[in-house]
Amino acid sequence: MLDLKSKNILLVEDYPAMRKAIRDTLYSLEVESLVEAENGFKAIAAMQTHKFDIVLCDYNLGAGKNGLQVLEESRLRKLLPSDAAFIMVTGEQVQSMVLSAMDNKPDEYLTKPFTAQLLLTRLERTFKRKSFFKQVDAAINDENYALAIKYCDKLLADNPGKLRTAALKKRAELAIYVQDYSTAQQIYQDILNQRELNWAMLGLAQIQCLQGHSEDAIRIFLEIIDKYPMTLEAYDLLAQSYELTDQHTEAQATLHKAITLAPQTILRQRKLATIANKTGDLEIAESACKSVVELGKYSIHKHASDFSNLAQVLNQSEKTDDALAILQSMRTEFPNDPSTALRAAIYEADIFKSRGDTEKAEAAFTEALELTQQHRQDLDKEILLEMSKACYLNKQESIADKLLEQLIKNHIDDDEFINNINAMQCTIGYENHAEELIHTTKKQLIHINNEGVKLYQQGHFTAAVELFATAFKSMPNNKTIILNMTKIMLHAIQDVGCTEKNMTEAKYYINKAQKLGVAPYKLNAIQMEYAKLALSFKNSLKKD
Amino acid sequence: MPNTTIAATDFASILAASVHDMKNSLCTIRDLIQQLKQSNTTDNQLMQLEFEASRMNNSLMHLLALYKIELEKFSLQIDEYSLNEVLNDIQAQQSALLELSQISLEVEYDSQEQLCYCDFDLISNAIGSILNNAQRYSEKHVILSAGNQNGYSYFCIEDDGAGFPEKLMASKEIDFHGGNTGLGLYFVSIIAKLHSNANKQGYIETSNTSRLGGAKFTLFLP
Repeated sequence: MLDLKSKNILLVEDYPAMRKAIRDTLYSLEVESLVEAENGFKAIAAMQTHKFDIVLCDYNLGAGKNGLQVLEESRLRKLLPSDAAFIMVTGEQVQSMVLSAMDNKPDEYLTKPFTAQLLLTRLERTFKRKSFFKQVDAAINDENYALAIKYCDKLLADNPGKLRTAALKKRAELAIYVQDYSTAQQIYQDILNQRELNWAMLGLAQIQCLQGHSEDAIRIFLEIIDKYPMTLEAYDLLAQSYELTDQHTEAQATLHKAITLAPQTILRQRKLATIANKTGDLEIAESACKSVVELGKYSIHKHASDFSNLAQVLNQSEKTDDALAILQSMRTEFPNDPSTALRAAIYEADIFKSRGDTEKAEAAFTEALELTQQHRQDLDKEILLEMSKACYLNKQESIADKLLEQLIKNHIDDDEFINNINAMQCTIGYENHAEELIHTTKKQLIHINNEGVKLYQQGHFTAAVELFATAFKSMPNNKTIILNMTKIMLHAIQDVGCTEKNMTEAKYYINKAQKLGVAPYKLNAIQMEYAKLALSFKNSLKKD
Repeated sequence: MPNTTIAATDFASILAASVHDMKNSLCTIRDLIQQLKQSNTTDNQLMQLEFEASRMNNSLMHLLALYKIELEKFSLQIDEYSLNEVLNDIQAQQSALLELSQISLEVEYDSQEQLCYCDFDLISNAIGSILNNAQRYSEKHVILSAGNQNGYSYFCIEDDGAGFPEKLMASKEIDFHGGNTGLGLYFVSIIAKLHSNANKQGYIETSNTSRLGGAKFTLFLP
C-alpha cells in the first residue's frame, strides 16, 4: 500500500467546508504534511516555496486562476518535480476531455465527492505508473529526448505487462518529438490493427500533417471528429491542416466549433482570433480577441499583444474609443515594460490616424520612435517588426530599413518569422523590398557555414572557431551560427585540450544557444559532449 | 410574456453550476457521516445516510451525462485498462458504504491480469452505482467479478437479496412514473451501447440467477 506519511501534499480548494472534508479524508489516510491554498495564486506561491509530491486541485476555484491555469503554470514554470502527481478534482465526470488543454493533462481526474479509499486507489495507480516511467519522464523533463527514447525502449524490451500500451504511446510521442515519423507511424498502426483507439488515430493523422500530407491528415481528423466529437485536439490539428493548405474559412469554422464545445482555452481562442483576422471576419475576430484578453487575466499565457490585437480589430470596426481604452488597460497591465509602451504608442498612432487626428497621431509616433531609440536592446522581435512597419507607413524608410536589416540578420534561420517579415512587407505594398536583403543574408550564412566546415575538415579548428566568432558578432541572435559555433568549438577543444578559458567560452555559447531557443534535441548531444570534457578536465586538474 | 427560453448551452452551464453546488453539500454530508461514526448514532442510520448521499451523487452524474449525450456534447474516452484496475476502483468508490453496512463484498479478481477497453471513469461509476443498489437490497453477501469471454469483457454483480422485480427485467424501458425508476440500469445500458468495437456493441443483462440466490447484473463490453 502507498505510504502517504512521507508525501508532501498541497490541497487547493476555495470552498472552506469542502476543504475541511478533503482535509479530514487526507488525515484519515495518515497524511502528515499538508499545505492548503484557497486560491490559485496561493497555490502557485506555495509551489514556489515547497516541494510537493502530490497536488490535489479543484478545477473550480471561484475568482482568480482556475485549476487548469494552476496546472498549466506549474508545468510551464516547472514548479513541480517530474515525479509529482497532479490530481484534478472536478464536479462532473465528462468534463475531463473538455478541461484538458493541449499538452497539459493532469495525472488523474477525481470526481467529487470521493471516498478516502478511492483517493488512495487512484494515487497508488498514478504512482505505480509514475515510478514505471520515472527515468523516461525525468529525461523528457530535461528535454533530452534521445535519452528518454533509450529508457522507453528498455521498458518495452523488459515485458511491461499491462503498461505495454501506455509505454508504446509514450514511445510514439517521443518519436514525433525527434521527427522520427516512421517509427511513430508504425506504433500507431500496430495499435490500430488491434483496436480502434482515439489517440492512436489522432497520432496517425498528426504524422500525416507533420509530413505535409495535409489531405490525408484532414480526412482522418474528420473521421475522428465524426466518431468522437469531444476530441478537441482533433479540431486544433484539423484547423492547422486547413491553414497549411490555405483553407482559412474551414480552419476558422473548425476552431469555432471547438470553442463552442470548450470556450475556456486561451490558446485556442487566440488561434481563432488570428485566423478570423486573416479571413476578415471582424465579428468573430472581436469576440475571440475579447475572450483571449478575458481568459488571459489569470493565465500564464497572458500577453500584451492580446490587448493590441483587440484594439486593432476594434479600430477596424471604427470603435476607436474602445480601442484606445483597451490600449490604456494594456499599459496598466504591463507597467514598466518598454515593449508594451512601444506597442501602445504604435497602435495609438494608428487609431488617431483613422480618426483623422493628425496631431495626436504624430505625437504618438514620435513617442514610438523615441522608445525604439532608447530601448533597442530590450525590445522583442515582434514589436520591432511592427515598428518597422509603422516607420514605412510614416515615410521613415531609412529607420525602417535599419530595423528590418537587424531583424533579418538575427532571425534569418527562423522561417516563420522571415515569413512574417515578408507578409508585413506585402500588406504595406513593399513586396520584394526585403527580398534582396533576405537573400544576401541567407547566402552569407551559407557561405560562413561552408567556409567554417571546410576549415574544420582541413583540421584548422582555431580558424574555424574564429570565423564563426566573427559571424556571431554580426548576427548575435542567429541560431544556426551559434549551434555550429558550439559544435566546432568542442571539437577544437578536443584537439588542443581543455583550458579554463576555452571551457568557459564553450559554456557561454551553449548557454546563449539555450537562451536563444535552439531546439533542445539539437543541443542535447553538445551538452553531453561538454559534460564529458568538463569531467575529464576536472579529473586532470586533480591529478596535477 | 417575457422570453424565458434558456439557450441549450446556457442550460448546460446552469446545470453544471447546480451540480457543482450540490456536490459541495454532498461532500459536507459525507464528512459529517464520518464524524458521526465516532459518536453513538446507529450504524443503520449512518448507512442509510451514506446510501442516500451516494445515490444522489450517482443520479446527478447520470443526469448530466445523459443530458450531454442528448446534446451530442459527449464522446467516450476509450483506452486500455486491466480488469482488476476497474474492480479496484469500483470497490474503492463503495468503501464508505461497505464499512457501514453489514454486507460483505467479495471481489473475485482476475488472476490472469487480462485487459479490457472502456471509458474508465464512466464504467467504474456506472457499475459503482449498481453495486450501491445491490448493497441496499441484499441480505448479507455481494459478489463482484470480471472476466473476458467470447470477445467481450464482462463485469458482474450478484447478490443474495429478493432479486430484480419482474418489471425491471421484463421491460427494457425506463418507468418514469413508478417508485423505483431503474434510472441506474437505464444509464448503464446507454453507456454500454456507446461502447462499440468492430460490429459489436456493449449491453447489459439482468436476471435472478445469482450464485447467491438474488439478483444478477452483468455488463458486457466489446
